[in-house]
Order: sequence, then structure tokens, then C-alpha cells
Amino acid sequence: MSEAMSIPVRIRMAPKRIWLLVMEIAMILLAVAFIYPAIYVVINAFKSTSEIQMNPAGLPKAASFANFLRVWSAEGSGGINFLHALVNTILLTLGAVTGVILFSSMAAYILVRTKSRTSTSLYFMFAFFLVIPFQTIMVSLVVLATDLGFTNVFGLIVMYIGLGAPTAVFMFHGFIKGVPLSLEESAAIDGAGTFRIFFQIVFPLLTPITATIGILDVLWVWNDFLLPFIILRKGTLVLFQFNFFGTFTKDYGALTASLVMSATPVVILYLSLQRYIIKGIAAGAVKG
Amino acid sequence: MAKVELRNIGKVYEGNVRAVENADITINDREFVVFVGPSGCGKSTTLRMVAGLEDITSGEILIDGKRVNDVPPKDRDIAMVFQNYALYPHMSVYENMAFGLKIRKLPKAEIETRVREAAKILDIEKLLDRKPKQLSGGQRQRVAVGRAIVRNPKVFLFDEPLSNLDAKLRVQMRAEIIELHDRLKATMIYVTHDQVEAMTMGDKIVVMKDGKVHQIGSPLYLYNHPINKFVAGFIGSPPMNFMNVKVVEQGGRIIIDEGSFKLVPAEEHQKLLKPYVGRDVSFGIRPEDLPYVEKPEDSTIKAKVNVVEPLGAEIHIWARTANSQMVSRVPPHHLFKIGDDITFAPVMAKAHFFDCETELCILPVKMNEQEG
Repeated sequence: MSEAMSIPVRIRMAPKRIWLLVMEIAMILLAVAFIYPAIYVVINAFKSTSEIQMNPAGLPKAASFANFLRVWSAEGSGGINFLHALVNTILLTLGAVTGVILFSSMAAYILVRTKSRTSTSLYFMFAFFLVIPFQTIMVSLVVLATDLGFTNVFGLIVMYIGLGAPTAVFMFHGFIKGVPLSLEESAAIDGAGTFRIFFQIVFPLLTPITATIGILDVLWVWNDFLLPFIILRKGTLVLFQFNFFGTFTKDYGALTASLVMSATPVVILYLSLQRYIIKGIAAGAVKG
Repeated sequence: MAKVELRNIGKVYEGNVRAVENADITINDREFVVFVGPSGCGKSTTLRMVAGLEDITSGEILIDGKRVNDVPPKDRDIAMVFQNYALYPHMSVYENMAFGLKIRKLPKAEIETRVREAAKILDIEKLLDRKPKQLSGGQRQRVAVGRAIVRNPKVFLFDEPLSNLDAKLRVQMRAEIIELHDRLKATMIYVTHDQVEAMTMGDKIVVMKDGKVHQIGSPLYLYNHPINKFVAGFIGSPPMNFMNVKVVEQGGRIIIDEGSFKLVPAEEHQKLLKPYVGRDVSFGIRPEDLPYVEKPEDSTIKAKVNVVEPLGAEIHIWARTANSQMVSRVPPHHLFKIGDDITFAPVMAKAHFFDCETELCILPVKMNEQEG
């Protein structure tokens, strides 16, 4: 009796299982497609240039760190070496991401807690800037930066803050709405002023979304090519790769090693903090 | 400690929404005053105006004789316990309690002494290192109260602090807050929608509805002398019974006629009801003033039992006449079943009469017990 009853159930389950299997295979293929270029770069970083040209897809015959040492000691255009570019990139990323988080969280807080037409309009303005592609403002931004003398790392930090603010304000806005107003009221009665309420009560509660925004912005600023290229021309890690592209020759060994060296810090950062990204996005989605 | 005076205060929100109208309330030094009323009656708004969390549209608030309309919350020397406790989730219990003292730049040693003393009073000494999420509802409640008492403020404000607790814990915390008031001898304003909390905790109750103060007085005064039908129905559980009756004069005596029964009002009410002869009034009688009698007599109500609620110490009998529904509180040894006939002999000296149009009590009652 029980066997007879279980047959239709098994039949009903079958299409669902097949569908799941198809989905899993599709996802594995997609993951391979995404990860393959990264693996390609990593394995080639340990090969000599001639080995890369002869056998680009295969594993290295013997792992060599010669490419990495070459990149470390290479002197790029303008006398900037890898270490210099690394320090520049760290400063740029830290400045830009700290600025984006600081200004966007404060802006979002005021936009959430101020109930007026102005705050609503400003919020929609931020949301509107989310859909404007960078390329449409690129030329005018360079002209403005040149006029203001902002063609340096500081200028670039200011630009990143401006460009990163809409997304960050949007994400902070959704999260802050979930922070109970009574916490702030309680702090106000306890004697705290607006800044203390924000920095000691509200901001610590934004940790998940701050971490999410921080990580996403670190990845963005660290890996960005176009803006540093048009403003600085040289000096960041991504621009440092250019040294290995000659007009007639390309040093693939040094290039791949340089890519690995540049990407390693952010990959480690991402892997150690990725749980915050998922947590922050999920929390933002629910509370927003 | 301090005296708090609310002089004709009003609050109008955007769109001309009147949350509070002309509230005139005096809270004496060391008094425990409860603002009670249904949701949306303006009790929390009034409390928040005292706290400085809401602007006042009209009138003025005085704390210790000083006008505080434009004084920010931090300078009013008040402490507030919120409905959701509002404990800072990222701080430990100790840090939560010390937060206000640190802002006021008190010496570290004094902060430590005050926090530990408050923790001892509230029996939360072992919880000082914990985060709020590691506490139960009752413990959070204690921490919230502790955060208020370390400040040693002039006035304590409580905004429905027990409404998130289960029934048993609520009763326990109620007793603890009363005890705390006795111990601190502080001026306390307490907001609740629960009339039992209001009756058991308050030295004085302010009953509010639709943004208006309906009556102010001691719990027993409001219970025995409600100014209108709303106060009469709101205070007391089970609520007062109301029956629409016609006032008639028979042989020089005033009689009230419900249709299915006739009752003779008490001597002291006869004269007051005379102007209402020929008109309908609302006859109100509390469940305990509606005793059950074995034999039907004159001036009794014959009804049919439709609900029996045995509570152990007493039974609530809900019964119906042709026109009215009523509830009576009877001793537990009476056994009634649904459908049984029952006769009530109301204690007419304890009856209340309300004008059907204005809903005001016909008997002489003060709006504010303390006023002349």
C-alpha cells in the first residue's frame, strides 16, 4: 500500500529534480566561465614569457617567481615603482572609501530623519544619479578637475566621494529607516547632541551596511582604471600594469604577475569580509 | 524632585490634526500620575511634550516653576523609559546605564558607584557586562529603568513600559515600579492604555480621549464618580453596564423604565432626574453593584444568562434582557448555566446616570478632583 502511494510522489518529484540538476550544471558552467580568466592569470604569472606563448593554458613546468621579482623591481613611467603605486592606491582607496562612508552616512541620516520636501527631493536626486553612466559626465569632469587643479590624488579622492555617494546614500537610507527613533530620543534625553547621537548611537548600528559599502567601494576604487587614467595618467596599481605593454612587445609574464600582486590584497579583503556583503545587502533589502 | 505643570497645552500636527487640546494638568512633587486612554488619545504625545521630544503648539509646560517650552530634552533634567526600552544594542548594560552620566562628565568613580547602586536596587548586578540582546524582556525593562534612575532626574517619564511584557511579568514589574516610586519619592508620569495599571499604580489618573483630558482624580474617585460615559466605561473591569432607560414620573416618584424592567432610583437621585422626565438617559451600574437575588422582587432585573466566566475568586455572569446586555460579578459558589433565568437587584444608591446627548454624568461630579 505504502509503495503504491509513493510511486506518484516519485513521479511528481522527478521533473523538479531534473530542473535542479540543470540549474546546478548551468551555475557550475557560469562559475567556471567567471573564474577561468583569474586562474589563467594566476598560472601564467609563474611561467616565463616564452612558456606563456607556447603553452598559455597549461600548468607551469616549474613554478618560478622571477616575474614577481621583476615587477617588484621594475621602474615604470615617471619613476613610479610597484611599491609607490601600491602606497598611492592604498591612500586613494582609504581616502575615497572613508569619505564615501562618512559623508554618505551622515547625508542619509539627515535625509531619513528630516521630513520635508527638500529632503525628499534630495533623496530622489541621489537615486537619480544612480542611473547616470560615468561616461556621460567624464569629459566635463576632467575639464572641471583641470580648472580646479584637482588632477592629483586628492582631487581623485574628491571625485570618488562624489561618484560613490549616490549608491552609498541609497543603501544607508534604507538601513537607517530600520533604526528605531526611540534610541535617538533616549540619547537626546540622556544629554547627547546630534553629532554624538549619530556617531555613538546610530553609526555603530550601521556596521553591516557600512562594511558592505566599504568592501564594494574598495573593490571599485582599487580596480578602477578609467578615472585614474584620465585624471592622473600614472601612479596607481592598475595604471602600473601599463608599463608591461610596449608599443611592439607585451611582457605577459610580468603583466600577469603584476595583476596577481595588485589583486591579492583586495581578494584577501573580500574573502575575509564577504559575509558582511551578503548580510548588509540582505538587511538593507528587508529594512529598506 | 519637581512639580510639573501643563497649562492649556495643545499639539496640532501637519494637516490640522489635533493630537492634544488644552490639556491642563498639574503633577505635584513626588506624585505618581498616570495618563490613561485608548490608542490615539494623545497621552503619549502629552508625555513626549513634557520630555521635549515634541514641540508644543500652544500653552506652556513648567517644571519646578520654570517654563521649559523651548528647553531641549537634555536640559530638562528628566529621564524616560520607552515602550521598546530603547537600550543601545551595541553597548553593555553598564555602558547603557553610564551613557548619560558620561555625557554629563561625572567622575568615573561616581559613575561606577551610581550604576552599581541602581543595579543593586533593580537586581541586575550580574547582568552589567551583558549586551541587551542577551537579556529577557523583564531584564531589559529593569535596565531601562536603571538607566533612568542613575541620572537622579527631577521627573521620571514612562511611556507604556510594560506593554511588551507577558501578563505575569507585567504584574510583577508593576509592583516593582510602585516600590521604586516609594523608595525614590520621585515625581513620575506614567502612560498606559491599561486601566488596571492606571488604577493600581497611580496616585492620580488623567483620563484622555481624542486629545482631550476628560477627568483627573484619584483612582477611586474616578471609579466612583466618573464625569461621563467614557470615563465610566473605561475605568473598571469588567466595564460598567449601560442601559438606555426612559425617566418617568409615577405617583410623585421618579422611575426609570428600560422596557423589560422598571427601577426606582435612590432618594438622592430622584431630584436630579426630575428634569429628565419623559426623556431617555443612560443608566450605568457597575458589575459588583448588580448582585444576583434568589427571588424576583420589585425593582429587580430579570434576564437570561448568555455567558458564564468563572475566574476562581469570582464569576462574571453575562446576561441579557430584551433590550440590554449586562454583566454581574457574583461570588464563586453560585452555579449558573447558559440559558438560566437570573434576577439582579441593582444597588440603586451606586447607580450612575448619563445624559444621552452629552454623555455627561447627571450627578454632581468634578472634572478635576483637586479643584474646588
